[in-house]
Amino acid sequence: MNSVMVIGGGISGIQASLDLADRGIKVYLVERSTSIGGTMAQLDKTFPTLDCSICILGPKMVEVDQNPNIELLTYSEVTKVDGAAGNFRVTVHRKPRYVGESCNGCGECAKTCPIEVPNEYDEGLGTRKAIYVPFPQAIPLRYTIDRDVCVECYRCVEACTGQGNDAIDFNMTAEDVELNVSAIIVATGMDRYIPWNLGEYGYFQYPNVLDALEFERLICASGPTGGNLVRPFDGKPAHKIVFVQCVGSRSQRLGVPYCSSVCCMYATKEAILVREHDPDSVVTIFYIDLKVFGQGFQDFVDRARDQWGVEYIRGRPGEVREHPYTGDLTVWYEDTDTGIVSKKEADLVVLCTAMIARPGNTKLAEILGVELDEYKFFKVKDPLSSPVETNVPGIYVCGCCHGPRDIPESVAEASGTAAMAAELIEVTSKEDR
Amino acid sequence: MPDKAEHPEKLDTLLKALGAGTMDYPEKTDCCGSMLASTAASTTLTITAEKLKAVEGYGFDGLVTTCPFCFQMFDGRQEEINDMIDFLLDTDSDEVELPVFYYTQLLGLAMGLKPDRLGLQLNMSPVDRILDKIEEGPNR
Repeated sequence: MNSVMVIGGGISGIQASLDLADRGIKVYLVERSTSIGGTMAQLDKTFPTLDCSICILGPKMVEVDQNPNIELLTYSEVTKVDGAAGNFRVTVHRKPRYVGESCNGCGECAKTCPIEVPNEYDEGLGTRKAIYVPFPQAIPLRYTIDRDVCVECYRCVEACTGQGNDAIDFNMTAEDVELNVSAIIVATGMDRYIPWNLGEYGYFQYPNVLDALEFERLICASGPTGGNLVRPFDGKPAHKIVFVQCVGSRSQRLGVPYCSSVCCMYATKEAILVREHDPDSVVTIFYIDLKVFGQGFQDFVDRARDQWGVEYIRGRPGEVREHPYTGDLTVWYEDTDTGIVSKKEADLVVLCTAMIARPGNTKLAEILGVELDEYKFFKVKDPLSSPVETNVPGIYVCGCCHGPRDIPESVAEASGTAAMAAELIEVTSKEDR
Repeated sequence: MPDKAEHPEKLDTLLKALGAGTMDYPEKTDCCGSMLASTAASTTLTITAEKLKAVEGYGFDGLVTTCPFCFQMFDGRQEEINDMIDFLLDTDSDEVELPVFYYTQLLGLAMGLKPDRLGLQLNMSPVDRILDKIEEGPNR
């Protein structure tokens, strides 16, 4: 038995799957949502090269789809794991999509669907239908019916038959699949902190206060506004953008004392994107410390400051206020370099919120029998000598599920876990002989 | 349960229960300035003046408070502020004419009590101008 299960279909899980499949190892890639892609699929550009994110990820996703060694189990969750390294027995719960495999993704069904709900992929800034694919590049490109909002008008069924297909099946039921695998790679990624306890920024009160992923969707050409940077309050163009770093992170009070490690860089990236979109724009980044430690990162920040005219102010804003009629925001802050308290007008305030562990980690860790650290991230055996191994032999972790990290590091780790899993298979199959 | 410190809304709820309309404004959580009254007399009035001026600027009919010291600042010292408003705000500025009420006074009006029974004649801010409006009710 030479197979590996990868849990999570983000960039880490995709990379691990492709590495293993290229070695001739069978991979079961389990993804909770309806499409693989993860957080990286939502990004507009990557730092520090400003490459288009989906242009890097998309081909990899297609490769996953077409690789005969990879079996894709989307809209599925791992519910039970027995056995030990070399012989895990995994139960995967497959939720019903209500659309069969004969779906070719033509999209006629969604055109007739009368229901519109906020689109999770666009962070609620755009809408999707009750029968949907999250984004055009979704893999698999197979529609899913959201039965929580569906009113069962069956117009989609008519549309599908109209196309000479009969993919939609409202009687589809959930099923549990049992799989035997030698190793398990956990790549469930991260969640982001919702600023419940930071009322001073008004995230829940003011439409023009966004978090960074929402902003990423807003500025993305495939986003809800087609890349037009407009204010959610009134749809007018946004010229003055303020980024606030360390929202939730590096705070003992809020229980996220660690640094999220990517915010300084993505804020700089987004700042440059704004300046590219609109040369008249004024972009300010409020930071505590600029933690730009990777290769080429400091250059990137220097370029943003010197060439693109992005203003960096050391200090955390104390309060964001909104004008009730115009929706204009005022950011009050202390410049800690000078000690002067002043205010800055803004059309949009972007909160760079902390990366936190997925709430589902607790349950998954219980199922897998692996340990979590105090922040509910997966715990590695030893950060120095075995950085991708867990306390359970044969279970490896990569990507943001064991702490905040950027895309290159996630990809490197994913390849690392793939190598570890392949080695385990090599060893166990020799023992079998 | 205490109100949200950054976005208080309990007084709004209480006012809406009387049929009044409320609206958030940026200076909503600003202090009345009274905390400096004994130590920095002119700063305290500047703080009060800034808030009064802002509230008037948004077109509100009046300001409501539950705190005696806030009431003292906004209502009792409005005239004093107007005497030196240019100095306090450091700019040429029109005088403030903003009716200020205790919550209980509006509650009494809503319950049909006569203004003099509520001590409204003792308010020093120009409350008369909106009494008619209040009596007309929400369907004005």
